[in-house]
Amino acid sequence: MQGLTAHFGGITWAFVLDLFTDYGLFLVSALGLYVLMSAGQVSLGHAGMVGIASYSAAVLAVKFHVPFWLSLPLTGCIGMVAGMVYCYLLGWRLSGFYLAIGTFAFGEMMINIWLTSDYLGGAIGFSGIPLLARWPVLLIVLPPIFYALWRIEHSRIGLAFRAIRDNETVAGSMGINVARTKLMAWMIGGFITGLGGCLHAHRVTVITPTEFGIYTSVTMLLAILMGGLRTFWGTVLGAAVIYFGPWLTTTSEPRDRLMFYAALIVILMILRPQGLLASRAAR
Amino acid sequence: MPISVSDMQPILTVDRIEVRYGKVVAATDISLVIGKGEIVTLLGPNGAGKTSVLKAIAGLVAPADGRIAFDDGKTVHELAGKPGHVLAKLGIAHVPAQNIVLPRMTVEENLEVGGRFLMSDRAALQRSVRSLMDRFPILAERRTQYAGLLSGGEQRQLAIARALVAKPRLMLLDEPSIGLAPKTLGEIFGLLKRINREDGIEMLLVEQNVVKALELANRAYVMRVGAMDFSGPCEDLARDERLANAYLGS
Amino acid sequence: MAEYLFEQFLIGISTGAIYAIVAIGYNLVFGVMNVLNLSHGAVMMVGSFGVLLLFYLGIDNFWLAVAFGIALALVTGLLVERIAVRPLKGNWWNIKVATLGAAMFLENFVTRLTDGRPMPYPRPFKPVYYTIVGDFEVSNVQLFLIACSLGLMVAMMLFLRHTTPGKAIRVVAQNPDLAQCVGVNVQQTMVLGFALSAALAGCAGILNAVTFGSTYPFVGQFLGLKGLVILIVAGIGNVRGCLIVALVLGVLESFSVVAGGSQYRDLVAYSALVLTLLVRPHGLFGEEGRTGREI
Repeated sequence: MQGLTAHFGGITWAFVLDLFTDYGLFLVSALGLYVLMSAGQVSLGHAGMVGIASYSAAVLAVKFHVPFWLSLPLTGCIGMVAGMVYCYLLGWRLSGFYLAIGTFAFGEMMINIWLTSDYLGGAIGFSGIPLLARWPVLLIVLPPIFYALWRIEHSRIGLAFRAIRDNETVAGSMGINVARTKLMAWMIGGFITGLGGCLHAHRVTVITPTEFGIYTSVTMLLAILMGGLRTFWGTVLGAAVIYFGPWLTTTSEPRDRLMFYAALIVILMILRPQGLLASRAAR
Repeated sequence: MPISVSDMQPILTVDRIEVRYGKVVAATDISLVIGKGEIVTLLGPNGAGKTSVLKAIAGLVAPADGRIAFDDGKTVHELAGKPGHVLAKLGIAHVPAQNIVLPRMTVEENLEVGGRFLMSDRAALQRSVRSLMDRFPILAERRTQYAGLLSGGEQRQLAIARALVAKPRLMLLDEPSIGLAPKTLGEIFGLLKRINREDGIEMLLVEQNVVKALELANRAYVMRVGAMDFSGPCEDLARDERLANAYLGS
Repeated sequence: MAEYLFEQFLIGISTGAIYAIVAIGYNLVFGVMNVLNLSHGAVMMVGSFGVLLLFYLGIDNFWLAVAFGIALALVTGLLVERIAVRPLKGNWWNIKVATLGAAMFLENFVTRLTDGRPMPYPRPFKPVYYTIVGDFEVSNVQLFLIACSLGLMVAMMLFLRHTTPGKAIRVVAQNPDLAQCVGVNVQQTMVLGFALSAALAGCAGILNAVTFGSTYPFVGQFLGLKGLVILIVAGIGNVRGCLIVALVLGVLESFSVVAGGSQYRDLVAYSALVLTLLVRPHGLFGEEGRTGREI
């Protein structure tokens, strides 16, 4: 008990609120990936897409002084366009592992472009973005996203997503327009990711290219794999495990935390191969 | 239906095996016997579980229940549950229905692979490969070509030749007629007959092409979805009207 | 200028050769098990730290330390196979996630042990510079590294082509069921493939550390990703293609540094990858039949 008090002793309400806000922001981007994954569009470079949105939001805010409430939907639309580009270039041409690698490479390419761009701050990062994404913003942004995802899940388009995830050929033969369904998934996923990227930029105030690398992508992917692909609530839960898990696992030494956390991933994969909240046939 | 085995010396005895994939039962209560010198065919409609039975005998899937005994002339081996490579070492050569050659190896390499993991004597392996190339002139002609580039009939010949490299006791053939033109099919079946006579190798043949299979084999077994339905000499099967209507499509 | 270019060319060849070893390591595991082992980079890192560990323990012999480093990488690789691959029964997504978890574990474990600082690395011998023609110089360390990497590659190709275990690996890679029919112990061959891949990873980690004169716990991420790029560009399952692509990429990278600066290095690699995927989704030397679906 004493250990627990020591472990949680330094925690204040402000800190918990901060942690939840960070979780909420992470969740928005992860839900964008969930939409893609639910249609079988495995992305291993999702952080790159978040980065595109974050840099757009940063440019809008700092260089063009666009107000936050205008920039948020605008960035969402930029995310949607980015999703379309991803779909034209990668989603329609590649599938499975090659799609995962293609999105990964695309993300790394973007990082290297940001690194070499002086306009965007290069390796030092883009700074001076106003800190606006506090917890009340999340209360406004998250409920509509949840509602939209819930509606999608129970509609024909959700069914079409699941169908092309299970088997593109069969889905096509059942009269589903595979190309258009993929495009829909990339656009919806891109929009949500765009919102997530904008919120992220306005949360951290300084964005650097390397934070949108493979590790962030994999963390988001893990959140979805943990939750399973049956429902987006799985992602909500999975993201919570990914985000809060490290805080609960062990001592205050951050490296120990990551170590135990990594071990947890391996164990979960062995014990719950279908994810925490998934039906048996989900994958 | 009783099987008369009194007058034969069985080299393979399959005793009431069951094959399942997870919860799905592919075949149940399957018994069959192969006597010395015999070619036995296992017939039945698509999805009856013939291939599963063959895979169980070859050790590619472990039967969930039942026994499989194999007499190699010296001792009787219990096969059920042993992995495929162990059975290959006992002299059971399995030629699957599809993907029967190693496409990115040459014809000669394919033949060599047939004995490389089964024979310790490298010189004997070379002799065996050479004698098989004499016997299958088309393979000698194509020896440096990649096996993936051969025609269907040539691939089938290569697969059969490869199975012979290590001088097996028993051959398990899964649909050797699949994808072959009628003329090639005749050649392959003639080849099998010769191998049976000249090398004294027993065969278990799973077939869709019932007419050809009955011509070649001494005895037949017929499976209906997951279970054994008939067994007996091929002439009896051809005469059995009910079966003929159900399976032979005559 | 010419001698500078020549130097960059040599650097390109030697890094390219290391990339090739990494890519072949992926290829071996992918070939025999049809899974992507994302802990490959971490195993390289373990190999490079194994050398340091022996020095730390007071044994001052470079070659013994190298042998120990390779052995440590091999054991680590086998442990990963036992814990994070075999229990998952071929489920390719889960294996990817689990091996990534294993990589994170190893990296943070070594960080914990070493404080995460880059560690200076011993050299096999004092560098001596030889003049070839005019101002063209080459050091014995450089020559040694290139000879080692290329030697390893050639040895690997000969092993796969001519020895019985090498043939077993090739047969399993082409058709595991057929492999059983011709008497190959598939399970054993898979473990062999994994072990070889891990030993190669150890070699690559050590060669890389000697090249740069230092190593750090996250060195495997950078190397592992490069290896993956080469694997995809060359086409999965193609050893010779890997070697060619790796050498070309190594040289391209070091010339892009000459042309633009070090920040263009990775841009070249990843742009090449995106371009390849757009033009030839199965890689430059890959085969149509091998879809990425099962990986």
